[in-house]
Amino acid sequence: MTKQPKPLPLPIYQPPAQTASVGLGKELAWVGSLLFLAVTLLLLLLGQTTAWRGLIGNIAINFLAIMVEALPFMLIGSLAGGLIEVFVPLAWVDRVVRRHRIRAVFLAGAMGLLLPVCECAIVPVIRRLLGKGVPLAAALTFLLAGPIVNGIVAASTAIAYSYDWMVPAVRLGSGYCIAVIIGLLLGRWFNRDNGLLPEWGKALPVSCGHQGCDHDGKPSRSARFRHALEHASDDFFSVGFYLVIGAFIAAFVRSVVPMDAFSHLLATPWQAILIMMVMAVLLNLCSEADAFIAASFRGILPGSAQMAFMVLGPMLDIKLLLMYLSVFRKRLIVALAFTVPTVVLVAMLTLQAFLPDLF
Amino acid sequence: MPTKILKCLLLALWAGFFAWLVVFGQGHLARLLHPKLWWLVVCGAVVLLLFLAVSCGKPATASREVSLWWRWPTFLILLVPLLYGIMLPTARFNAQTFAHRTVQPPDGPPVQTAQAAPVQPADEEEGEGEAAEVPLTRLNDQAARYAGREVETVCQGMRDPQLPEDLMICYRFLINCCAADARPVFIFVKKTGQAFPGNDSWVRVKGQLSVYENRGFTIPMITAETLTAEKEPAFPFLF
Repeated sequence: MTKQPKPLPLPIYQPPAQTASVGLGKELAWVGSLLFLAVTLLLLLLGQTTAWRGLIGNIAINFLAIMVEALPFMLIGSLAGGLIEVFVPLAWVDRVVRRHRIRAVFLAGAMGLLLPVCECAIVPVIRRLLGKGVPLAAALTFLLAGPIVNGIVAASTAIAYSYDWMVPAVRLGSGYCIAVIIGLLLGRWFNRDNGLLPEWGKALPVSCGHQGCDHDGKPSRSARFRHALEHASDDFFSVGFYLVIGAFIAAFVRSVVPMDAFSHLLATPWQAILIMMVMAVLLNLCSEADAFIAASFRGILPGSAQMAFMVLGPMLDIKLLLMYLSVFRKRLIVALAFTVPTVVLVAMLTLQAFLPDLF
Repeated sequence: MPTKILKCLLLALWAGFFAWLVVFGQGHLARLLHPKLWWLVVCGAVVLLLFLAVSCGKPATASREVSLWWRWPTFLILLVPLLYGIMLPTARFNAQTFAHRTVQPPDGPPVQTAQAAPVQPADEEEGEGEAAEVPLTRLNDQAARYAGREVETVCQGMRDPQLPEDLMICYRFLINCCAADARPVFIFVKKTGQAFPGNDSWVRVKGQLSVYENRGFTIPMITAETLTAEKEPAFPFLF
C-alpha cells in the first residue's frame, strides 16, 4: 500500500505578530486613542447645544466629506496591496532588482508602478525584500518612492485636482527623484550590517502575516484570492483608524483656522512649504488619500507647499517612523528623518523658483 | 471571537453607511461629495462587503493579534465618523464658514478666492432682456456679459457690517471634490425695499446686474426687483 502524499495545507490567515518595538508604544497608543475618543465625543455632545452647533456642524461636514472620499481609496489600496502580496511573485521582483546595485536603485524608484502598495503596507514588503537579499539602497528607494510612484496614487491625485494631470506628473516625478537621491546617498553610508536590526536580519520575516504560507505555491486561485482579501481586510483595521484621526484633525483645522491666517503665508512660500512639511509629518493619512487634504488648501497656499505635503507625507510621517523601528537601526532612522525633509525642502524650493504658478 | 464579531460589525456598519448614502441618502451625499465621485462610494461599499464576507466566513483561529483590551479603542475610533453622521441632517455651511474661507481686508469687502472651472458660455437661446437662472460662478466670470441684463440666481443671503445697509452678500460654495475644499463664490445684492431674509437663508434674487466698485474692488451686484425665500437646492454646492 503506497503512502498518500500529504496534501498541502490551505493557508490560514494570521494577522501580523506585533514586534517588541511596536509593543513599546502600545500603552501610549492606547491612551492616545482614548484621548482622541474623549475629545471627539465631547465635541459631538457640544454640537447638540445651540452655541456650538454651527462650529461642530462645520467640523462634521468636513470630517465626513474627507472620510467618504478618502476611505474608498484606502480600501481599494488595501485590496490592491492584498492582491499584490499574494499574486505577485517576489522572486521575480528580486531577480530584476538585485543584479546591479545602482541600476537597482533607479528601478526600485519606479517599482511602485508594478507594485502599487501604500505607505502603510510597504514596510512589511520591504522586510520581505530585504530578507531575500535586496540591497539596502534599493529597498530604501522603494520604501520612499513606492507609496508615491504608483498608478493608484496618480489617479487619486488627478481626481483631487480635478483631473489636472500636471499635478500627479509633478508629484510622481519629484517623488521618484527624491527617493532615488536619498537611496543613493544613504546607500553609500549604510549597509545591511549597520542599517538593519540584527535580530530582524537573522530570519526571513513573515511579511504579511500569512503564517507558513507560500504565496507562490500551490493553493488554488480562489483560495489565494480569499487570502488576499483577508490580508486587505486586516490592513483596513490596521490603518483605518489612522485615517479617521488624521481626517478629524484636518477637518478641525479646516473649520477653526480662518483663511486669513494662511493668507499671510502667501507672501513667503518657503514658510508655507515648511508649515505643510510639518503638517505632512503630523497629519499625513495615506498616500492615496492625502491629495484630497492637500487640494483643500488650493487657492490658499502655493502649489509647491501642497506638493511638499503630498511628497513628504508618504515618506516620513509619525506612523511610518514607528514602523521603521521594526526594521532599521535608530541611526538609519535618524539619517532618514534628517535627509528626507532636507531633500524635499530643497526640491520644493526649486519647484517654487522655477514653476511658481504650477497649479 | 469577540474581535471577529467586532470586525464584522464594523465592516457591516461602514458598508451599510456607504450603501445608504448612495441609495437613500443622496441628499446628504450631495452635501459631502461632488457627484462625479459618487462611484467611489459604491466601490467602497463593494470592497467592504467583500471584506465582510471573508471576515465573517473565516474560521476562528488561535490569534497572534494584540488582545482586544488593547485594540478596542481603535475599533471605536473607526465608529467616530458614523457617530458624526447623526449631525448630517442639520449641519450646514453658513456665514461662519464664509467668513473663515474668505480673505477680508480690514477696510473693504471680502475678496473672491474661489476659481471656478472654465464656465460654459451662456446658452445661445437666452434672450437679451429675459431673466433666466444663472449660477453665481457665471455671473462672476462673465459679469461684463451680463451687465445691464436682468438675471435671476439662487443663493444664501448674508449681511456684512462693513457693507452699506441696503447691500447684502449672496453666496454659495464651489467644490472641486468634496465639502472640505469648498470655497465661497458671491455677489452683492442691492435691496430696494425688501426685508433682509436672514443670514444663511436661501433666496431667489431677480434683478438687473451691474458692477459694484469700491476702493478698487469690483464685484457683480444685482439690484433686486424681487427677493423671495427659496428651498435649499438638491445640490447646494456649485461645481
